[in-house]
Amino acid sequence: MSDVVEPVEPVLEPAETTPAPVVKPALTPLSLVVAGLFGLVYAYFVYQAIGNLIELPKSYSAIGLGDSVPWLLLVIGLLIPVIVYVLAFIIGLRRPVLDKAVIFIMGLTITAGLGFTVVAIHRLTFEALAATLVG
Amino acid sequence: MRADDDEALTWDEVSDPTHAATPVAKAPAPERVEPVETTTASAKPATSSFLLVSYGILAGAFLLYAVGWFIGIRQVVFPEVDTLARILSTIAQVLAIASPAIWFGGAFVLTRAAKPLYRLLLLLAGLVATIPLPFILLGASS
Repeated sequence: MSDVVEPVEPVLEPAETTPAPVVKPALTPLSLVVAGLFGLVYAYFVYQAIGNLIELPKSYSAIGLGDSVPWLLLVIGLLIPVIVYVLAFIIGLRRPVLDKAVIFIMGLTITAGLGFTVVAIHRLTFEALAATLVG
Repeated sequence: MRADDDEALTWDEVSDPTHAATPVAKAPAPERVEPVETTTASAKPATSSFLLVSYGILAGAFLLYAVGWFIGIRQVVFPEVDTLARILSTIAQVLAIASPAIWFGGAFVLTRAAKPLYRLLLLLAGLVATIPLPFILLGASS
């Protein structure tokens, strides 16, 4: 078991020694740590979206609007952090670790902004809904 | 090679336009100045004034975006009762408000070895990606 040659080493060596490295290692241990740490932060946004997905329909039902739950917005809110994380991971795949981290941070700010945008759209739709009920 | 060595020994940057007023800069012989000028131009091109103006305009646009986020975010934030939820909500707000600035800086980091055209394109993409939609959709009124 222990005498199995690790496959990572021979891949890394020529990439560092040759003057024009064509194939860079895509997933070094450090890059996986970076991806994992940022994954935790992105997961918070997923957690929050799941919370909305569970709680908002309850609130709508409580005021008798159970048929008007904005499911599309709730699902979009859940998909945003997942899609942005996957995109950031793919875009940074063949880039140095610093670039990976920068891309993850940029994606994180976009995720936060889009999350608030979803809330803004929800507010508009809810106000429109309330207006039809009153008027 | 020799031109680079000579450049290291001379402190008066004749080719540098910002040092044009230095009187000592006129002193070296023209045949020594000529190769220095060509090597510096080929090795490390200075940022053109067009690019500098473009960066300035884009920085101003991103700054306006940040102001838009700062004003607009109040419309979409709910008072959190839980302390942890309040901290996390604050972090999310800071991230959203900082998104234009972070994109601006990130574009320079990611394209540090690329052509300026790619930097401009990435910055323009940021004008789409970090647009303060809560402010645009809901305005400033609470």
